[in-house]
Amino acid sequence: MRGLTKLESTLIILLIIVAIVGGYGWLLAQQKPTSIETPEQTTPPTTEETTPPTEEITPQPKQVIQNITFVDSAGRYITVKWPLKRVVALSTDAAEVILTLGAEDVVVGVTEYITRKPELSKLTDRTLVGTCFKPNIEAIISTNPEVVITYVRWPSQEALEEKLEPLGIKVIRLDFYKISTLFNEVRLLGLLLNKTEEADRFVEFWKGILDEIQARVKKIPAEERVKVYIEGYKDYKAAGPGSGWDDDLRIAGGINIFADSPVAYPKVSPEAVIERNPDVIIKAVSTSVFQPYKATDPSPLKEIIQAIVSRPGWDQISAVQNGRVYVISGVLSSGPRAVVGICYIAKWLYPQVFADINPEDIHKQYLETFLGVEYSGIWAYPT
Amino acid sequence: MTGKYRITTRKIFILLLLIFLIPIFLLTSISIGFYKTSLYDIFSVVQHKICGFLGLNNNGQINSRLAAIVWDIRLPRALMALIAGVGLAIAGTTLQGVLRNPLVSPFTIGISSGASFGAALAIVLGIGITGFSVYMVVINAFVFSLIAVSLTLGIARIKGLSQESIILSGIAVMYLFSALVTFLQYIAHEHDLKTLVYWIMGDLAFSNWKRVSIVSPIVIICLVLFKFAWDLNVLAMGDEVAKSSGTEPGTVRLICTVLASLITASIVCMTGPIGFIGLVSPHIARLIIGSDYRYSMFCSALIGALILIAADTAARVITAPTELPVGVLTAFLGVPLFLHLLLRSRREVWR
Repeated sequence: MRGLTKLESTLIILLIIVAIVGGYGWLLAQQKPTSIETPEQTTPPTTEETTPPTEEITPQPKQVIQNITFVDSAGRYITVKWPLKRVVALSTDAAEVILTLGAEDVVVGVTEYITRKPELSKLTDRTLVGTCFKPNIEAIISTNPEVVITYVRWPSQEALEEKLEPLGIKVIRLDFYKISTLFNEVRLLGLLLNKTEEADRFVEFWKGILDEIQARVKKIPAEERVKVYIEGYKDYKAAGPGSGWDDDLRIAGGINIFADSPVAYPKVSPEAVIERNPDVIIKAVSTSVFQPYKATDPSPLKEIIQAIVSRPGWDQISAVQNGRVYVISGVLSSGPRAVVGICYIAKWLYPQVFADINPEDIHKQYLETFLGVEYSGIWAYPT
Repeated sequence: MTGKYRITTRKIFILLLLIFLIPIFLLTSISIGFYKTSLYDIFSVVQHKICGFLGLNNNGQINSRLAAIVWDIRLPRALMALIAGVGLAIAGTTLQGVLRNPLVSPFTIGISSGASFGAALAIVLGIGITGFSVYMVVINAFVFSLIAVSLTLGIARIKGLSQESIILSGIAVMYLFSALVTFLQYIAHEHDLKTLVYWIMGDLAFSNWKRVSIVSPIVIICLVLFKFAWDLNVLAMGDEVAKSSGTEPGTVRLICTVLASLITASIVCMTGPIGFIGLVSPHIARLIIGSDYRYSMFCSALIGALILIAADTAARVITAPTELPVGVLTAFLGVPLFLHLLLRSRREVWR
């Protein structure tokens, strides 16, 4: 009898599992598949460009579909139909650049971080295809894109290209987060989307500001350069070489006190900061701690500064003694808006040199003319 | 005699039932996902593909996107879950048998941390054993998991391959490689860190036909291990008894451990270390079918496959379009089943 009971219980459990899994499957099977049809094959491509593109491509009559071949930031030759009509953006930076180019209509799929950014709210109704680091391939395919745009390194090729390329979906890898490659990448994307004028406007706007800052920084003599401690989201996680903040700081003419770190985000000891005695302390705040857009109350940022100032022994640091402790939103560290972050930093480091530069105005101008959203919120403190 | 006969019949009945469940689970897994598909769609795609493969006349057009999702994305993934579940469960059963320890899993002898270290090298530093970038993670993980196991067995050999020496040296090697992984995590770029963490939690999303075909030969190794089921039964009675009945414990232990490691390394390098299956499937099998390895090994393989297919399906569906790590789901599905069986059972499985 005992054996029978055991057998029964086993059977019951297995049947329950089957019932749950199977029932769910049956329910799904009952629903008619949502009609996402493969689009009719349009007229076959008539011309084909095999050389890397030049900017002279002139828009052709609408019926003609051209192919265009270019090199992405991962160094690969890619051929796509020109101009791009259906794009899945995996990275927030790519999504933001597409918006600034006025091409939001081509975006058919976005990832979770994009929908969480209120400045990119024009894209929240697009199909969600997972996160940038763990995209859902089925969801990507279901949006029927021509291309997927993502970072050079993330997600891995085995997670993306290996699955999508057999289906004819091209993966374009453009970073958009490094200031050194940003402008070329924006120009390339502008070309692919047939938005070259918008891309030029974008590049001119930022490059003008960036050149001005660099020209003024160049004139600051070495002995007047300011020593800076930049801290990432976690306490005592400094921004070392290779991090976005370090790049920003270098352009703004600051000396990173942890420039000798072998690691991008080293965990430093509080003593080392006291010993290296920075003139300015800058703390990056993540959007999960403080959502800058539409924020009106700066008190959470005040508390963060208070916590840094009251770290044991830090009253010995000259930045603390002189009240030069600042917080800035991580949104401004890299990506299309890195120049805004650089403006803030430059102004904090050399208030006299950059007295006439107003980071808030620049940011406002960018949000309103390029992204087409209202400027509001608190992006840095104190300003 | 009749009593024994009845018990054997019962065991075969359970095995048949489990075998019957496999296609049901597979079909369910293939039918569910972000892209809505009906059972009819599944059958039409499969029929279309098989007809095409055999060169028969295909009548009727088929939605190419539907075909891609069912045939190129879901089917290889479900098959990978099947193979990985079978392989991990058999490796676990074998190792628990040869090492006579219920807490052993394929990961106890250092495989998962070795594989994680190899993957971390590729992901964080871009260092590969080979230059070929797409499979860098896979090849690194495979090579380093074998390095870890060789290290474990090499150390254990000095002490004559006793079960304690294998377990203890395995734990030492595991901690060594875990420390190395932690170090790489420390120096990693935050985006790489995310990729690495996903990998370490185990993930079947990388499955495709090529990978399935690379992994499928491990089924043959599994069949070889079935041959050792009787040796495991003898070994369960102790080294002395085993010796007197003609089984050399050291040799069996070495061969079985090496084969189990090969199976696990081949799976883990493709999927990342999916926990729990290799540890608990053998126990579940023992609880429902008894501790005779000739039956429990087969049963454990089926249980492992069922749990992993179900877990992967759940991982894909619960938070769609994002995915949960499959390792979390294997535990969520497996632990209640395991605890139930454990509490219901009046048998002392590990004497």
